[in-house]
Amino acid sequence: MKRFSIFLFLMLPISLFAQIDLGKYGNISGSFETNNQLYVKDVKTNSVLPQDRIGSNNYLKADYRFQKISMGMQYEAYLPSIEGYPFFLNDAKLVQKYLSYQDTKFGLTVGNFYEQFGSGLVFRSWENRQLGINNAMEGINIRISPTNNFDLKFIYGKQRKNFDKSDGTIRAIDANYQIVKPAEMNHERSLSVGGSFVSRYQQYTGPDPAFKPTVNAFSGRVNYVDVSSNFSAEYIIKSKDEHAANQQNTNTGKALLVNYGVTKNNVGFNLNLRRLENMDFRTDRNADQGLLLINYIPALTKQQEYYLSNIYVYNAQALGEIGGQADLYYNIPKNTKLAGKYGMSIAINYSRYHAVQIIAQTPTSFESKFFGIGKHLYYSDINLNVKKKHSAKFTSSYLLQHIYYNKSVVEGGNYENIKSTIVVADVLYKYAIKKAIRTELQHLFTKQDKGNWFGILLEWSYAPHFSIFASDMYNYGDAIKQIHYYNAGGSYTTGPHKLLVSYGRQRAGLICVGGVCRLLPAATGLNVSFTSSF
Amino acid sequence: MKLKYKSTLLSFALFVSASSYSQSLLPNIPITTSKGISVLFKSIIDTNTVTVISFWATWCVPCINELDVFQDKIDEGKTTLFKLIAISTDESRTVQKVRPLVKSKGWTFDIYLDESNEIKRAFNAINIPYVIVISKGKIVYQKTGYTPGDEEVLIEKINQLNVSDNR
Repeated sequence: MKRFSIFLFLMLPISLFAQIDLGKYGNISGSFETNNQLYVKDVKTNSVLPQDRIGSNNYLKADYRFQKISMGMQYEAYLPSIEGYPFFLNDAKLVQKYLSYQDTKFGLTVGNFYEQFGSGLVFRSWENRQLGINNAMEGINIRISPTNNFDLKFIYGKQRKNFDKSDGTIRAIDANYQIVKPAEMNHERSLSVGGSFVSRYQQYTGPDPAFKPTVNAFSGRVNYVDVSSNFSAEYIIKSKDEHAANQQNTNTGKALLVNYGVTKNNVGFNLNLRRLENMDFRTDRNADQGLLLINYIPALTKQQEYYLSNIYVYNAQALGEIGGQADLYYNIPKNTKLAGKYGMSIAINYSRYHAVQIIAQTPTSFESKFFGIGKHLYYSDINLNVKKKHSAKFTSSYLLQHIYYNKSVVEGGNYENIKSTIVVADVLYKYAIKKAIRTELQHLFTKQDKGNWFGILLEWSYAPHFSIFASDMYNYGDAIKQIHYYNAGGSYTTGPHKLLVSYGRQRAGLICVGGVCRLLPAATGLNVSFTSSF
Repeated sequence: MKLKYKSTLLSFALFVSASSYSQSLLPNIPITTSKGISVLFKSIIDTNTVTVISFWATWCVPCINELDVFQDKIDEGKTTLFKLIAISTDESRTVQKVRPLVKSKGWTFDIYLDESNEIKRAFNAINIPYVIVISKGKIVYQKTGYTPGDEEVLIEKINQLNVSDNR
């Protein structure tokens, strides 16, 4: 705690002075985030107490902007890192810094930067503090737009690896050409094509003369949008790339992503299809978990917010997967019999993912039918969300969801496949102009794994500053051990600053954000977090 | 001990108050329209009207609740008070859901896409929903999170801005 106080003491004056608005000489802005856990012994959950009972992750970001020039830095302190992160750090460093010039036709960034080509299936550098992922590039990023319908991007550099850099180097180029560009913003039709080349080099010192230190990936994409429909497709091919995370698989990497959407009046429909084959792509052939990822392969399923809907979540299978999802949104207009005075919205989503259809297999490769669907079902999810505003004070939302979860594939190991049904009722009562009570009642039915769960949340809020909550998740259907995962806390918000304090139990399991997951250990204790933007 | 407690509180209060209402310049970086066209962020800000920017995502329930409430305010005839721009921070996992959701909801305000989260990072928004109010090219109010009733506070702020603009 003492170390954290010292850190906060150092950070506060920096934040205070960073507020200076320099008028015609530019301005300084930034953000500060601190997440702290104080762990306590809890025999019920079998949580393992860390040697240091405190985990503290802290981030200070500051940017200076002057006309077309900007520069900035990110300082991070793990004192030590919170349990369950894919790394253990007990250190603080200025880890990122950059200098950038951005104009309409030209942009240049030197230092650390984030970038994405196409959908990210061929290249994406990004940050997610919750997952402990930060694969920011360190190098140079050049953007050239010679005409108003043609963009070129060049990047060169190494990826961030915790407080270090990757061994391998990335050099890449991306081009985007707008074939049909609306003369005016309101003109609803556009057509563009694009392509990327991403090359990774990592020196190889092993004995195999046929082993190539360079891995190349190519992608091509098309994107069409008009007044009531949209279509996009992207295809990626990646050269032979055996490494630890793909179990030394020697297949050529391939990925196809297709999306079609259509809208009319109060209805919206979207179909999203994807096939993956050996698409795990990293700057280091020994990297695993969320480290040194070059591309971004999210699970294309519906992302739910409710606790019990996040017990069995899918994790995309980069080695081989075929499937897709469909979404239907319908808003029943206001002042109709069913929707009443305030309207009603319905959302239906269905996703399904299978193994690819394998024809022949060796220990390090397989041959498959490109559009063949394998027998093994990895995941399926059908869910219905209904939201209705009954009156100015009373709104309710309901979720009905059925999931098939192949735990052995998603989490690794040998488990029974899980079928679960989840029901949620979420009711909001705004009893005064700035005061509201919200309650969530949740239930998960399953005969497998830890059996049935019950969940409840009660929340009281007084806008714009105060909110308090209490929640519980209880696996009462588990034949071996039933545990109440209780939590209670409150938050104080003022403008862009938020202080959150809570105490409770954290369930062991997968936490997934944007389709990338990490395994959280069980933990009990006090959580204090503060976020601020300035 | 008491003095230490007071000084900590004072530091916190100073930090909170001093860090409000700064960041006067807007980022000079591209943003994507819902039709897939890249435009400079500065070009979408109307300097004659109070602009409310809401960072949201299709998977964020409080964000959608907030935007539904904003649409109710627009339907009530508050459009002359402010221009609303909703910037989707949906990444490639969910960005394809933006158009069907928006069309089904019948939201009438402008939608932009920030798939790589570059604009969100430039504004230093850590969590969503995140609301920014811009008046005369300057950020005059920011708010993280949404609790029911926040919209009333926002409308009060916009009213104050419009009154001071008319003086």
